[in-house]
Amino acid sequence: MTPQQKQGLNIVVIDDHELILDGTVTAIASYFPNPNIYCASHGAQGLQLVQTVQPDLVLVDLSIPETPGTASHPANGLKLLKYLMDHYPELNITVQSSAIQALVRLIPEIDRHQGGFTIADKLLPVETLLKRIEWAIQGVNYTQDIQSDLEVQPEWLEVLKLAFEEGCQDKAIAERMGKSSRMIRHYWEKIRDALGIYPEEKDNVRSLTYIKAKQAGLVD
Amino acid sequence: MLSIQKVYQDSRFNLAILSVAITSISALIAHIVHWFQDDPFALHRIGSFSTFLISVIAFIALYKKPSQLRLIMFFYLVLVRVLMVLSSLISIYMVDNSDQFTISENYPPFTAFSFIWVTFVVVYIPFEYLFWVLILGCVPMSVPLLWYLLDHPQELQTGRGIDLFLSYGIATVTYALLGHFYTRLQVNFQNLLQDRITNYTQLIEAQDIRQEAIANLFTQLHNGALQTLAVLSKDLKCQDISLETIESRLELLNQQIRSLVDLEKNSEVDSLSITKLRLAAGVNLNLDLPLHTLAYEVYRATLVRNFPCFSSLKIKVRSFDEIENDRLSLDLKREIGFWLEEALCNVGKHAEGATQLQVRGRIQNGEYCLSVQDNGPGICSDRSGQGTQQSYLLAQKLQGEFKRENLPQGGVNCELRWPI
Repeated sequence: MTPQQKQGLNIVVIDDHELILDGTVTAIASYFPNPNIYCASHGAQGLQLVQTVQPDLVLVDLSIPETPGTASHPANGLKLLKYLMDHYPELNITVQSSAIQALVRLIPEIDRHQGGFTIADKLLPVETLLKRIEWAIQGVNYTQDIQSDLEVQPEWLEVLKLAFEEGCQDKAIAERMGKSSRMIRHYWEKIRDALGIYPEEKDNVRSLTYIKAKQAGLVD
Repeated sequence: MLSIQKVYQDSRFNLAILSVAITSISALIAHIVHWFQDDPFALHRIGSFSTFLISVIAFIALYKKPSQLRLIMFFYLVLVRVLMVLSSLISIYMVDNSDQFTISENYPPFTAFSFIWVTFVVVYIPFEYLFWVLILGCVPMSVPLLWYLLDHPQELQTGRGIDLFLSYGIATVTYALLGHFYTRLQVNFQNLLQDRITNYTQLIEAQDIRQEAIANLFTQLHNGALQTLAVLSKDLKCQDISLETIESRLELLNQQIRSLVDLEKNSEVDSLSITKLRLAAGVNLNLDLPLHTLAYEVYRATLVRNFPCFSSLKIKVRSFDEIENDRLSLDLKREIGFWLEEALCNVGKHAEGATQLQVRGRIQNGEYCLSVQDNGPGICSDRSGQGTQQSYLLAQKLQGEFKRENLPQGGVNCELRWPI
């Protein structure tokens, strides 16, 4: 599959393992056309890069040192992520980690985050990681692996109700709920993630969402 | 501790105002007496009148500003002493330069007053200045007078001469030293008292913390082991429970009780435990977290517990509105955490067949509303146990409201709201 991306994506990669960093960077560089890849080996440097580069995507490892020379710990990655989500609500993020379950602590923040947000276990093949990165850049959410069961926000239920019980289009939904269209798109991304619908599905996404939501009992 | 200090302060003030009043009256009488006496330099009249004036001013000042006791008494004592020193020096000078006058006849008659002055200095001047005030007050009085008397032995041999010599010599030195030691003793005594009071306060605080730890322990027991026990006994009555399940429940019960014992062992009146919320699930949460994060953590930790009615839940609606500055004390936050834990436990125990759970924290009309709602069978009886009473008590503490009600479409809504 040839990614239809604009030229020269800015990508920040934060990982303290040089080997993995090298491998990831090589893979990203060959997958996306002419990406500008910026590497950081600790949280402070990563944050600085995000502030200066304003990237299209940040790839974060959870277990990183906070400052150079200190020990790596998942808490540092969580802290950085929380900061990024609080201050850059539309930033696209992919998290990769060997202990991805630690992210459950940030689920409320992830639910609120409006940018793309995908996760990838470090054990997964590199192709999967690249796919998840691509999804995040498209604004897609993928958090299936850390969701034990169907957990939704009240707003998502309202969107589903307006769309499938009253047949509203996004614009009408936005007006009815007093939210921006962008926000409604963000809700749809979250709903699809909760229902396990991702871009690889061939069917019509809207009808698929309806079917799955009905199966789950989210709509009558 | 405050009351002892206050009694001490009050009596110091009363003594000051009384003595200043008596001094004014005595000085006035002395002035009248001196007025009719044969006074060659008019010194006695000036002295007594000035003392009267200063005393009256001090009396008024004390009456108007009781809080400035220390400052007023300091200036009063200094001024009075300056007056005494001046008249002492002037009379010695006059007598020394004249042939007709003697010190025994003309030295101002304030020996007794001089001793009273030393007494008041001991009472009203802080210990750290006491030594210098006594030196500066007594040396200019005693030294010229003693020198004069030793220089004029014929005066020393008169009755009044010996009296002056002893009073301003040995007696003054002894008196000043005694005063100094007395004050030192008092300072030591005060320090000792302060120590005792501090110890006592710490003891009381430690006891309070202990008391609270016991109360917390009880809540944890209620939300943890007792809930497991309730579920187990309910299932046993239904008689469709396997031996393995019973065994695993008992093991859980064992763990829950043990975790309490461990907790008790570790929290040696530990200041850290005050900032923690310990859930029955064995999770220790930091109460410094913002309320919405704390609520989410309680939700997350409680929903993974093994309650029968959690397994049928299909949809969970969960959202906690962000509230950064909740202005709640750590104790209140802990109680709110326990409240949410118990509300969720109740769903797990009683909401049989419920498929939906809504756990929400909403900011509405200046209130934070925390609610737990299920679509189970609802409350059948008026359950009004320990938990309900505590909920009402908590609502009262928050100046808010607690309610638990059956919903028209089925299920229970359990809600706590308070103004923010």
